[in-house]
Amino acid sequence: MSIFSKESKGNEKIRKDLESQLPQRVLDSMAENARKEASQKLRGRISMVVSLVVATGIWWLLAEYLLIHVPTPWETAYWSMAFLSDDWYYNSVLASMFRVYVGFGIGIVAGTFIGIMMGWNLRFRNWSFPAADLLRHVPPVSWVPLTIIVAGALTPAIVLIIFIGTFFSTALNSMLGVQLIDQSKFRAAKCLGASPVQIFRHVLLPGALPSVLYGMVLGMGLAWMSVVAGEMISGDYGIGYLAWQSYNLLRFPEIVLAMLTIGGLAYGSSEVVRYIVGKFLKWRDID
Amino acid sequence: MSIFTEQDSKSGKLEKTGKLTVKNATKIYDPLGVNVLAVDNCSLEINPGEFVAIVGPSGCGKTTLLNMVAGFDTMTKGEIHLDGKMIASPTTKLKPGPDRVVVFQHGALFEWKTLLDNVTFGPVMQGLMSKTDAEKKGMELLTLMGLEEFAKTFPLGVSSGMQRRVEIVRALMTNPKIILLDEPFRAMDTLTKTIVHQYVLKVQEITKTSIFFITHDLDEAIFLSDRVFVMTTRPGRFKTSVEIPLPRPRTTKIVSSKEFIELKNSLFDLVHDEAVKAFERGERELAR
Repeated sequence: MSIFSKESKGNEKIRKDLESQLPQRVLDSMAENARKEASQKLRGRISMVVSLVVATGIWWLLAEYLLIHVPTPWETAYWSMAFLSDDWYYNSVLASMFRVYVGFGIGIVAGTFIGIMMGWNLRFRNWSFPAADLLRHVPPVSWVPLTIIVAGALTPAIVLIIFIGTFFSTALNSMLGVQLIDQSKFRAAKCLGASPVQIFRHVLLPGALPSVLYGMVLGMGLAWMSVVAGEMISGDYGIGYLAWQSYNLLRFPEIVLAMLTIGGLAYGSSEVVRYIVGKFLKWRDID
Repeated sequence: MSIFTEQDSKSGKLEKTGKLTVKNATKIYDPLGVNVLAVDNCSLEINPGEFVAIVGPSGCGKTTLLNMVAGFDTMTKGEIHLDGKMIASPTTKLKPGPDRVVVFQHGALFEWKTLLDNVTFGPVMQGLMSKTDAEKKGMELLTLMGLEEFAKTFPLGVSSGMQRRVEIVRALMTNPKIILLDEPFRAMDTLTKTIVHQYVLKVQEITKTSIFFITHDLDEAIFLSDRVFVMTTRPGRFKTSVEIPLPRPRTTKIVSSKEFIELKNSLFDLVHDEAVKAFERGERELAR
């Protein structure tokens, strides 16, 4: 393992030169640091496993001795085998995922566009921001009755509330992202002879990007909350509906399975968004 | 030096350009309906290739003057010419441009572009050079500044001293007639500052670009410039201007020479008076 593990490849030669000039004592201490870093990483992984095991243990104790109606981990695992061989489960998962990704996709495109316009154009901001700021505080779930009336069918209605949640979080973060760009960067670009279109493309967009992407990460979290709430209230299928229906059918382990599934899907989706975000923000890694 | 190639001779770089004339520049701000006279009737002339510093206490209108030259701020009265062409007056439209590039106080590199991409931004955006040519020239200038190893690094990965050197390179890339330095060394520690100064002197020696330099640090003004203007506290006026006859190329040793100290002493009282006035007024304004 290289002692300059985070340096870019272009600096490889410099690193070698540097290393050859350093006294052994310094090299040793650097290697020692690298070892420490590696063992810290390992410890991080171990503690993650321990934390999950402990959480499961607490769940088991509670379910076994205190909250006797709650299924224990083993019961959940046992019954899950049966549920997992049923198409209903997979169809529910797919339905929810479809709703989330469609709503999220449309939401971030529209939200980014409107948000950047709000940051870019003062008049547009003055007209649109007060309304947007007010509507943002309406919880996505409370849009459900209205969206069903408007959309007629259920899936479009749920997609619509996901769209609403994602839209506001991306729009307001994008606007903020534009506003937070240091004015001297625009001035510098003008000095260097860039046209307004070039400034938009090379200064405004990349400058606002961190905030835009952060809005998307938040939006993904909101999207999963909205889909589950929407499906519980008025679903016909979907993972939220499955959880609620399992309650009606007294299939308690299935409730837990649905909950864990929702958690896993939301976590996974957020991680994917976060990973993609990281790809775009390489310039912020300064180790 | 091959930094200035054919293109530059076509654009007239080899002739002496970069004569800045500021005539009776005046700026009145009007916030909240109260007129504030920020810059009052300032006139100066910077000859081609000359390094001129403006020294004054904080808030005296130095930056306002620079902003008028740069085309960021309107003028209330007066005219500014660059090589005989009028670039600013109360009636001209604000138009910053690559003929007079600003290096900013807090830095204005694009953090999302590598140092090399920052440097090539001007010529590439203007369509003056192909990306490859611009990169070639950029690498030469970066090498001159001792930064060639970091060409592919992002700005947040290098020190503030390096960032500022990159910014100077970025400004030079568009072959400006004049470079406007807006206290760019302000936030640097003394050691870093002296290093960056050396690079600035070196580059100016080679490129012979005129420089309009704003600072409140007397030492760096004397050390770098051919002439120093002292500005009064608000409203900003020129109190005096002093020639700096120190020989070039200048080294850090010069700071302890007799001439340097004499120049510093003669200027110190003038600057100090203004600083005291500014300070007292600040106290009064606070007390009100």
